[in-house]
Amino acid sequence: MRSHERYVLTLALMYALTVVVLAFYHESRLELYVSLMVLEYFVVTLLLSPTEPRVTRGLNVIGVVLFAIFMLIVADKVMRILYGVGLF
Amino acid sequence: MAYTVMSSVPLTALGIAAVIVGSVLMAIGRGSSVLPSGIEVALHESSLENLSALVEEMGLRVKAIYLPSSLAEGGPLALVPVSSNPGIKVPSSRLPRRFLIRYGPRAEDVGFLISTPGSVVVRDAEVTRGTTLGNLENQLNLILVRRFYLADSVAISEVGDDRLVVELANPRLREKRLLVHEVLGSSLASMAASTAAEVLGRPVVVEEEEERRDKLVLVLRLLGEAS
Repeated sequence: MRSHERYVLTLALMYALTVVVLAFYHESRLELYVSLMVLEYFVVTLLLSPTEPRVTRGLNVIGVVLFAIFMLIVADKVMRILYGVGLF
Repeated sequence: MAYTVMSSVPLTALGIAAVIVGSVLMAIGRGSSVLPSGIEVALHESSLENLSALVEEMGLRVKAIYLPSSLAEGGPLALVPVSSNPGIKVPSSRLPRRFLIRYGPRAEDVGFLISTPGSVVVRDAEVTRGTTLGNLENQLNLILVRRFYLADSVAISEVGDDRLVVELANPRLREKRLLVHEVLGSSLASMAASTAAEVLGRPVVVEEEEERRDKLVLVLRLLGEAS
């Protein structure tokens, strides 16, 4: 199996497993699903991502976007704790 | 959609996962080779056939010395001595980027400085210098396994007297045997030798190359001192 295939397959399997497990426990917080997916993206990318420079650049862009989403989720939680109002 | 219409968080999460995986596939598709399939093989084979013609016409029979970029201008290159004198002389200073070059004081210290598949691969990979076999093994795994999928794994062991044994598990680059392989080694050997030269900063010669069932075993000899 080529490293591209291993990477994408692992990522897809991790996401499917996450959704199934959280749905099994009746988890209804979307931000928890998204945060876990962002975390899994970074872990799988670090361990298995292809090393071609152009592919790495594209994956870095996705990483920046996902990290920004994660920071928004964190900021929302902090705002809720400190001021009682969320961003969304 | 699933969130607003069906109020289903798991389905929404699956949708988001599909968007992320789709973006990753796009990034991989855009970043991968743009050449039509088969063209790389044709370019590679024509380049080797030209080198074979040169080797045959010039009667070159001595094994090439893979030089690190610290000893050859323009990146790691292979020096093919013209003389068949077995005493290999290693260049002491950095050689300029020329095709036909004098690399020592003796009259027979003349050779061809050529770019090999390994030269190009190492130049593009931005190999980092190291001193241990672990460094070299990591770099070879990064280049040959993770980047080019040319083998399943690479293992290195030292057999003393400046000789390294490199084992490539399940090598995937099959080439028709050409005369140039007697001098440079196969393309995989060339990549391993160029990487070893660049990482360790020492000239390298591919002494032996043997295919065993699902392995390619190379014996590399390190020459000179680290530069």
